[in-house]
Amino acid sequence: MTGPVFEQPGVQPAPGAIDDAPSAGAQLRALREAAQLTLDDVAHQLKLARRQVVAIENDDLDALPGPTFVRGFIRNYARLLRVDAEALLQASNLVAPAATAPIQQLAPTMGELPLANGGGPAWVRWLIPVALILVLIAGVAYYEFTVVPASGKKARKETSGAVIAPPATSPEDAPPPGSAAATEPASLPPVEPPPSVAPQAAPAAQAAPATPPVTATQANPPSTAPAAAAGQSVASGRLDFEFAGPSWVEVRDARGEVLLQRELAAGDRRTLTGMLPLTLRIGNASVVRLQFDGNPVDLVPHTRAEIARLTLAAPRP
Amino acid sequence: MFKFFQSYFSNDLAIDLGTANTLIYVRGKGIVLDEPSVVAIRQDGGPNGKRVIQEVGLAAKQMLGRTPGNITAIRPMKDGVIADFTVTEQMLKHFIKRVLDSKLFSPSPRIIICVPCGSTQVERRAIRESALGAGASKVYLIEEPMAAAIGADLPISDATGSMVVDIGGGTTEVGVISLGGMVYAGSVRVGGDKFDEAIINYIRRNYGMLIGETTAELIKKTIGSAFPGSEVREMEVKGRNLAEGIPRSFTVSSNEILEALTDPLNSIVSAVKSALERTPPELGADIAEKGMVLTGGGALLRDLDRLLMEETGLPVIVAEDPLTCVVRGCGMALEQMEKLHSIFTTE
Repeated sequence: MTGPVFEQPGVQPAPGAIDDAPSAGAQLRALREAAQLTLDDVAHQLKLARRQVVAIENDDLDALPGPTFVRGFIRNYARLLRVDAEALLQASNLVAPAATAPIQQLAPTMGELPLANGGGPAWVRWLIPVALILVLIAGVAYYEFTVVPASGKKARKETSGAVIAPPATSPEDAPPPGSAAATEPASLPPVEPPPSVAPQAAPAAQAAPATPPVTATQANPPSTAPAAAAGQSVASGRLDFEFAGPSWVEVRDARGEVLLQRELAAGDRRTLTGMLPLTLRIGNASVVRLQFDGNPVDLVPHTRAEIARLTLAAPRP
Repeated sequence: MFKFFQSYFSNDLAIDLGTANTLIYVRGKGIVLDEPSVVAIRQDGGPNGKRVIQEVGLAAKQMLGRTPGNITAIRPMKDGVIADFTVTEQMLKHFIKRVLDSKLFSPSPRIIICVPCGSTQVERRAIRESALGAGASKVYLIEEPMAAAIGADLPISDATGSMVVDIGGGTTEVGVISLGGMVYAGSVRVGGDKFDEAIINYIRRNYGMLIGETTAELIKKTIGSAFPGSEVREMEVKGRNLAEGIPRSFTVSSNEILEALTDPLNSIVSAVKSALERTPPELGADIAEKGMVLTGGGALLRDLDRLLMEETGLPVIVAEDPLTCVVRGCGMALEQMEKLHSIFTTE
């Protein structure tokens, strides 16, 4: 384990041994011979193959693994011979490429940094929750003031339709395919409606007031009920408006078609017929008297803020 | 043009979060920070008593073992992994803050951070989380031997075996790399800290004197060696005599320190031998031709390469600037992050 002793490079460089002219390999060879070491001694000490030592001394870099390793080998060799490796590497242009920029001197350590709760004033952490709450409030306000009338109308339409409409199942026709549509008369229009409600069909529908407003999706032969025979079995209703003051009215039929949408003055009367269920919006409702198929309709329960909204599905009993 | 904007806006970092030192590399700038991984924490008294960070880095290291009751100097990393999560996160945050310019709208950096190859999934997750907590937008992990090999400029992507031994503060990592991937990775939790510990124990046992970690580190750096040399160095050391309880001064020699370091050095040698045993023969032949490369602060221990040469019969070379090899490797990975995929590790 002993033998030629390794020393730190540069501890005692052999004086005058290194010339500027010769390459690293030549210098190493000269130094080795001066130290009376054979190639095998060096190879044994450096744990290299003899040919590798020869290649180092001949500056035959192609026979060696690569610049990183060559630099390491030359350093080890130089240390064995107790000479400064950096001078040798410079002689062979083997100095490592400038590694990186020198470490910048940064500002000295800044002082107190709270450990538990991270930086910033205390109110900063409330900023996000408060902002979220404000956004929420704004959203709710927007909904209340702009969206609610429209959606409230829809909700009310469904409820009033459900209130006024009789039970959808009828004893005479309970067809399995049409039953689903029949349970929701307010929401589902008939599949094959007539293009417009014929005035002749209206009396027929009135003649059979017991016929429920079942949306006739079935295409059965019109032989069973008179209502079905009358005209595509769609129930229709007649509305009579009488105005004691200025008002406006909007009436839509089951398909959503506008039957009447206009302003009306005091003393006006209007009569119209439409496919059930009919959706009504009546402004200034207190001055309007409405008859549905000849029966008066009380608008007060449907009135809110002077506007009555209601759905008429069947003649009042 | 695009590249210019990218370099202007991105502030990606590569971090070598080591047991002893933390180094940070900033894309396009190089290594900008090299500080000991030490944090000094002060516990304030009074009604609003808080724990605040007193110092981080070098200033905190000087406090190690010299603190009054209300200050504790902590090394939050132990054995290459996180021992104190909160303090590590704060330390990282602190270092990152010092490295990055405080712009108003500075984007969160992407961070490459290296982990010991022997670390468990939990330990890796902890490192990832602490980097995320310190402000990273994305964290990539790279195994230390791979980073060290890149930093040492080894031909990792060639079809040839390269062996790297990275002796850090907490762990020693042995990796055999070929074609951009790790063929073998081994890790033992022996490093510079264990050397210091061994010196402290040796001096207490043989001299009946108690010395601190800082003194032990100084002894190691000054006269420590791994292989018997012809020149015996001596050093005067001061410590507390255990029997008398009084500070005394005494002299230790390099041969004694060599004896003290025998156990941890043997662990490293056996880790290297076990790596060689498990290396496929073709790659072993490459390693026999080129030798293994030492990186990390432990490579600066005098004659450690000589010890490994004698023990293995293979050439051993010390990488240039071994202390910064890992962070340089991380930095090179950072610069070519889009091209290099195989070197990053998953959890």
